[in-house]
Amino acid sequence: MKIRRPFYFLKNALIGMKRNGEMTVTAILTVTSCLLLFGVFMLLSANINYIGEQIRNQCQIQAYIDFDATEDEEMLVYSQVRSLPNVSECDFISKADAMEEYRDYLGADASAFDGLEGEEFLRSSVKVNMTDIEKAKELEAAIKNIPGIAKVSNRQDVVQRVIDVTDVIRTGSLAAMIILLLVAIFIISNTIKLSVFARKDEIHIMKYVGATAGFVRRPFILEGVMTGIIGGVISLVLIGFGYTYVIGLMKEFLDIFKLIPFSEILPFMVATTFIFGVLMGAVGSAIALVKHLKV
Amino acid sequence: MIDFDNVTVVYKNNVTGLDKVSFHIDKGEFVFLVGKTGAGKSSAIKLLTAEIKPLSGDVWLDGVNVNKLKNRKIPFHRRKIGVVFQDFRLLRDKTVYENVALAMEIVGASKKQIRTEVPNILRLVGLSQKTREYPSSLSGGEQQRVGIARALVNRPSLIIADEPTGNLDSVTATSIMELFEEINRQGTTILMVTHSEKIVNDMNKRVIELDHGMLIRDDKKGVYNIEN
Repeated sequence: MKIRRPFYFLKNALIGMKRNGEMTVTAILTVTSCLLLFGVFMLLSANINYIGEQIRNQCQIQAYIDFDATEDEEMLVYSQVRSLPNVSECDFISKADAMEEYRDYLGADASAFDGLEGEEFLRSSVKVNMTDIEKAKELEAAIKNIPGIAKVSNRQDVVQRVIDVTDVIRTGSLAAMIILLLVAIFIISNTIKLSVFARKDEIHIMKYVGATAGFVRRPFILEGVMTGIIGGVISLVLIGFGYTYVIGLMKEFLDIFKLIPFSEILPFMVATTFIFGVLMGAVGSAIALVKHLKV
Repeated sequence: MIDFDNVTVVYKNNVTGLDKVSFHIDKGEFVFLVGKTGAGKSSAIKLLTAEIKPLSGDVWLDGVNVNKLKNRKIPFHRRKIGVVFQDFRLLRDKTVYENVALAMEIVGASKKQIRTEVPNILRLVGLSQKTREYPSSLSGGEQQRVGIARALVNRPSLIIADEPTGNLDSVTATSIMELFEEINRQGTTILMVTHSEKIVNDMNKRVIELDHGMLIRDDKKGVYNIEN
């Protein structure tokens, strides 16, 4: 008996889905749309974190040393900067290195500097990476206090602005995901309600014959869960194609930032879509059953 | 078997369903419950199937206080009762066999038990040749026989029949009553609600009459005797 019961419930759930044909299709499409948008927001959120991390890694403080400083003085400044708290990496850029960097940056136009040496107009500097980007201002002040430092450049303000924007997008995505979840639950709940009405007589008979509440409810819960899972699978396939296409586009036209490779995020997407599909189905059914099925 | 002990039922709209009703039914009895519309017959049935609870008093079935049952125990209590309805309440998209088998599936019977028991019951009610037919192709009497088979298949100790012949012609009604008598002879207690004077008078069984929620008559071998 225990072995054939799951088939009994599955059979009844499928009968329910078939009986409510149009409504079931509508529910699956709604769940698909919701989970599709849900997935888009999830990918957006994950990639914003990913890109944010890339921006954070690019955030450096560059401390320029007095033009007249001797090599020994420059080394002293370098060692003092390196010993400051919150410094994770520290590179000394000599005047000659700075010249090289300029030439690299200018590429073909570098010939304009032909015949010039860095020593003639560039300053040596120290490039600093931080452990905690939030404390960039404190580090900047500490560097400024070191004798021999002429100027400190810090792009932290720009980075902070990017971080603020990503925070807003992330919060917006979360709000949108919650709304989508509620919409899907509402639609599934209505579908199950119709299913309960369609099987009213059967439920009544089951009740009199002594069916437990769980026995009566299980096919409906299963019907909701299957609607959620089918919607989830369709949305995942669509997201897979869409995301791969977007990655291709990004590589071609906007290669500054990298997106998370699909293969890397796939297990997370499958797990989340499955969990939310099942959750939408189960909660939607449960709401319908509490309201419309007194056993 | 059944004990109503000073039972009062009052509905939310302050309508009295039953008013201090007491009676006892022994195992194996055949009892008619009669009365005008609104007399309290349905309240009595709903108390037995644990659909409603009394305001006061107790209802006992097989030594169990029905109104003290916890919600999760109610389905198991209902398995002791088979209910037959006036409008048969068969599932249109299931065959005769499937309609009866459903009752066994619900209580968790094995496939083997279902395969043995359903044909036995269908034989008892005279429908061995109709197992694969759908309710829509059956006569009223045959549909009621399916209803009776479904009520009987889990071998309940009590059958409650709510106007089982209300939708049938008199010849068919008589054959259905013969079936109930046979079931009763085999030891199942039967509590039947009916408005049929002919049936009550022909059967010459115990009659309990309710009026405005009160028990006004309990005759061991009674007649219908109600002015409509």
